[in-house]
Amino acid sequence: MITAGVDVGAATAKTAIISDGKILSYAVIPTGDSVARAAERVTRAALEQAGLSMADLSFVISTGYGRNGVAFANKTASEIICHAKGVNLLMPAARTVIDIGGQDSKVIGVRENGTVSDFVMNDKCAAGTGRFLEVMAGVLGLDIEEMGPISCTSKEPCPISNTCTIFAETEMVSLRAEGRTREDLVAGIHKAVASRVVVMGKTVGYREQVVFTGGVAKNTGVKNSLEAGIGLPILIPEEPQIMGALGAALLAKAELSRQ
Amino acid sequence: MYTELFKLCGFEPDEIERERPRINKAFKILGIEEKDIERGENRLRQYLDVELLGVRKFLGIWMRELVNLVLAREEHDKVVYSDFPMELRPLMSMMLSTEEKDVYFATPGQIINMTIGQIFDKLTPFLEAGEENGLPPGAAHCALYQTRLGAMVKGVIPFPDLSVIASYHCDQPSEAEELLHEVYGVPVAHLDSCPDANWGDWPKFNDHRVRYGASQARKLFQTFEKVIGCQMTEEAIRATNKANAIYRLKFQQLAELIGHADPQPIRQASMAHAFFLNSMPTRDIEGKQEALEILVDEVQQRVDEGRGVVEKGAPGVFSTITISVDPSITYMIEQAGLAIRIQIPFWLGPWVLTKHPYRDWADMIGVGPCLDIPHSCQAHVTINLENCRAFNVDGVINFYPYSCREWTPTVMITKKVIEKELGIPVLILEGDSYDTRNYSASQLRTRVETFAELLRATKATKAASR
Repeated sequence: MITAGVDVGAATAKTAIISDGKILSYAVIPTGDSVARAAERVTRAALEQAGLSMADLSFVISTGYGRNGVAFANKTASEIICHAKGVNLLMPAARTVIDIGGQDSKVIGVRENGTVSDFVMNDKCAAGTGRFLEVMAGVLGLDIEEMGPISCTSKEPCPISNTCTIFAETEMVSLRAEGRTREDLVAGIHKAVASRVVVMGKTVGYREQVVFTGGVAKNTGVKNSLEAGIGLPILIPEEPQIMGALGAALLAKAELSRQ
Repeated sequence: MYTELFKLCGFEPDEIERERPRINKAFKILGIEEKDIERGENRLRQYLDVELLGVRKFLGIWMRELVNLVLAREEHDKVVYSDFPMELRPLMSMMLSTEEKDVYFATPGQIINMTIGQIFDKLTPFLEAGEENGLPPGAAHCALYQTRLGAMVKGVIPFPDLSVIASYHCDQPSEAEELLHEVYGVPVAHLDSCPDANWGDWPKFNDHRVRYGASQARKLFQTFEKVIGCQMTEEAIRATNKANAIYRLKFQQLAELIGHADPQPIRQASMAHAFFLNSMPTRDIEGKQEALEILVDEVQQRVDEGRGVVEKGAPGVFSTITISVDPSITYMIEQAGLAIRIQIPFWLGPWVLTKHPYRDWADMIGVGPCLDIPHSCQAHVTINLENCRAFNVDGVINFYPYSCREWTPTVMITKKVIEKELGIPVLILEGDSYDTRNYSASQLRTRVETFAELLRATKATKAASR
């Protein structure tokens, strides 16, 4: 029984393919300009890796903001439920998931069985999301992948507004003009993102183990700032971007069993 | 081109023909075109229970008022406006002290929101005009007041001869009306009040607060008499209080009928059209009472037959979402499989309605509404708790409306108190009561669907452990 989960996010589309609770393959590609095309391409890429075809899939669940645009999905599920489920498979002791993606951030309380006990999600504001990092990387002329290692050598992170991407961009320009180092600027950006998420998640509460997922989890600087903010160690799955897709694939398996 | 639309709004064919010249004129001024009418029909069919005559009749009242509002200057000598949070009784008392042909009364922001917003989804030009003419974006101005200002400066509705406003629990009306007075020369009468009670005071009001409310009401009535040139009458006040009490109590009955039914028998977006007539001064008092009586009977029939718009046994929520211009949000909650048992402020505990020591006296002097409105965070929280307990809900969807200075301070307190006292989850949804540009429906959907799943799982676990 082979099932797939397709997570079409704001920045990337991900597909995970599983069989009997084991991951067969996964793929991650940029979402680009079409949800439908991205979903199909990423799923075909994952299938190819596993040596399978669309016809081999018994059930597909789509998730993410583009979930309703995946024509070949049998069902949709919210990405919050999927993230909890996906993390639960790989890290069953996780009780809190912090997910920071391209356009939103979430803090999710997870029960032992992988269901959601509570959650909070950012409003439409881009502060505290991957988009914030992208904008700031653009201002500093950096690739987003460079930001994590650069910030680790900061001596004194710059204080930067964590409430608004636009205000923060202006602040960044002023701080750069004051001659602050690139390392301190980038560390300040990470602190701003992290503190936004830390405050938001307090309504849910942080319980060990805390797992960090989403594309931003690949950024060591944000991880360090989050750990400092919540006062707990944070674990990161080997491939933090596919947790939603993996959870969707697991839900697909459960759905198939119910039927 | 609009015959079908008006039929969906409860108009009889002969009324449509009779009113055609007025409707044509009003729609031309409003810029309502064929594509807007098609969109309106689709939205009514999708989001509201237009198969129910009571719902259609309520829609008809709003559509008639839209036409009346646009043509008010050419059909009446004087025009008087108000808007939320000014409550109905002082307005109705003033309205019933005048002749219909002489003075037109309206809450234009509400009328435009419920028709141009909710039915036609065409509010943005009004909001932009309001933003360009004194209530700029990004400054936490209420979109209700941006809408009414925009409609006036665009020449779609007339500037009034008097604007009557209140600041029971919000400073936006008085600020917006200062602008109307100082920049546009409109006379304004302001009903001041003393909204901030100590925690624990509500619903016990002291003499000082009631006397102050009464003194302000008298001042308001004097200004009205002077500017409009008429005399307030005791008869009008009594007729107002009687009509208002009958409507309010019947509405209360409807809210309880829906709240205790399983499955949820009617879409909550339909209820909004009945609810907001609690604060809109239409002269069609018999018409709105008739619509309500019909709707209660129709809902009772659905309950008796076990028919509903959400699956039987669905988790029940108390929702504070009152997005008057966007029925898709409450519809989204229902589509996610949650039964909205009750919305605030549809229902008030019996102790608020009947046991207030100043109730009769306050009604007699026309300040009864001051006592109905939650005056403080504690009042909000208490009413929210009462609603949850009375309708035994599984969770709460608590709306966080941007730019609403009355509502936002209570949101986090309400969440904490409900979670602590009742042990049920509270979802906070950010949005805007009147401006759909201020939120993303797809972003809200993720949270609503997750919350629905969470409540279903909790309910299933509870059922299994019994």
